[in-house]
Amino acid sequence: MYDQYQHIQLFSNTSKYLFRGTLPTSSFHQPYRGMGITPTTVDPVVASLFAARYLMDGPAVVLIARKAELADSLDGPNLLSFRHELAINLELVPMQFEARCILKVSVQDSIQLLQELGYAVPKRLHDTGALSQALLESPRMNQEDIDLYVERCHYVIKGG
Amino acid sequence: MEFHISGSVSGESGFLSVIGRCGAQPIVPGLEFSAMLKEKHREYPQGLEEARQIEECKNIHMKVDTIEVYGKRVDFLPPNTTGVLRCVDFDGKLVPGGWILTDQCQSV
Repeated sequence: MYDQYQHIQLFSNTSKYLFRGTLPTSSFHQPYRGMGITPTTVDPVVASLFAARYLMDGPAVVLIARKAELADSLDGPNLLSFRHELAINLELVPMQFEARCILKVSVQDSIQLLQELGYAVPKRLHDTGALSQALLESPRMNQEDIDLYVERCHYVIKGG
Repeated sequence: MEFHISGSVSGESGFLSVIGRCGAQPIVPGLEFSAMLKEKHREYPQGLEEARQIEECKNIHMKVDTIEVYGKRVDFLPPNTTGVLRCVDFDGKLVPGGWILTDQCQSV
């Protein structure tokens, strides 16, 4: 049922970044009462799909962090049946993860950049069923395109 | 209240373990599901931007006994989070992946 190793393999591979599609902490009106774990992914398509779902509740964003800076927070395990989400779970509350991110891009900018790189992603997902189907049917990015995506996110944030 | 099923396993001391993702409302132990529905397939990517349509709905019964997230037992399953529901009071059958547990049958 659980995969103890996927997150370790993902953390050890050549990718440099972690991505998380979510709402910014500032948009929550109630104090955090989760379990102290923040799920992230090594693929911006996955993060953008989650952001497209959260867009129904507010100004969703994709957060980008440097993986090497979070090595002390590696947690797990993942569920085997959700391997396609390429998740890395961190032992941090979401607010701490957001504070340690290097970039924050809007879901609209993220999806636009993915389209420019040839990755089609729905602009919004109204329900969890749509999110689940999109996570199963969406393409996964290669490392070269992920690096290009992050480079272009830098450019967008600088107002390019 | 909904739980999107990825798969299920029985045989652990009479429990049915249902693996999947929570919908928009959190799930807590003690909660009872009384229906299971299947959505019509939507085309990726643009079709997924449209509202869902229900293809089929069945009456069932099961009660959530405990919840696991990231391998740890928790008090509730947050929205959109994957987890395992250990259920009791079910009819002995496994629940199939691709269906959604809910609290009442919705019209097709």
